[in-house]
Amino acid sequence: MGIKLDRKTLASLLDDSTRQLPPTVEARLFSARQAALQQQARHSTLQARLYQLVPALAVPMRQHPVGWGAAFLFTAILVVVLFQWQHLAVHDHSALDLAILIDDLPVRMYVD
Amino acid sequence: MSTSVQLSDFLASVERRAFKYAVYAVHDEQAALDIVQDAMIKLAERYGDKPAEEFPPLFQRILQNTIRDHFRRQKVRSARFSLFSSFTTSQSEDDVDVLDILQDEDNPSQPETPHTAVAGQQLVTIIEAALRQLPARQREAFLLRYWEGFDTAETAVAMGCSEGSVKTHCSRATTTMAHILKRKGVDLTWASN
Repeated sequence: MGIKLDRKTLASLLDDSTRQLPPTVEARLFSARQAALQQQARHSTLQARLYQLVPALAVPMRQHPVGWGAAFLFTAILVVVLFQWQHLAVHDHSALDLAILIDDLPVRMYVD
Repeated sequence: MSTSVQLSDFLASVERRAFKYAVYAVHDEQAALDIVQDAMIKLAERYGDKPAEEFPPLFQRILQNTIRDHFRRQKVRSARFSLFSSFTTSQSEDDVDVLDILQDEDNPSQPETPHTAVAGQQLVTIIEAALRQLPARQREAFLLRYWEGFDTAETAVAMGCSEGSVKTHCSRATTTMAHILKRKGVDLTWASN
């Protein structure tokens, strides 16, 4: 006398149960969906602005976002390192100038 | 790249099921609504620009992770306040009462089980009660396979495990469901296959 329950019936019964949600739950789900869509719109606007600034990045950035992110990071680090190196080089020159002024050149300067 | 209309349509098509999934897992409607909202926002934020056909497994994975996060937070919160538990009454435990979920088959004073007259609603109630008794991973696999209609590979992606694990979870879930439902006079026809 048991009731036979196959996969389709099980799925359709569970589907039926989702159609009888209280109005308060439906309202919350609707507002949740709206919040998610706003989030997507905000994200898209930021991306669109970036792509407007640098149109050439639009396609490759969409296809390989992680790779391009890493490339940007690497470039930024490279710029910082170059800046630091330049800064050090300037300091080296000033140290040499100072040594010439006070006539305190190291011996290696007279070798040539 | 998906449009906001595609995302909206997708979310509208899955939100009710997602809510049910969360309710089966956490037994609390408000918490379930929060979980669904979090999952929707995460999908839109992180994967809103993905093609629409990639949404289903991604959303399921996010949903399951959000449910797990909920339990983690709950565990941390309960651990944090466990020191104070001896000073308070046990009123806070009424959030989830096992007796509300478990059925007592031997108790004749309970409403009649649908051996004789089964309306769809009663059957749904029985199925939902059985689903709530499944372990989380088994329930996840069972619902994804037999309600969501995912195949084994898609379920594995959504659950973040191997296809073998999915098969094991499904098999165990089906066996457990079959046992529980049989006691209520309902036979899962594919359980014996």
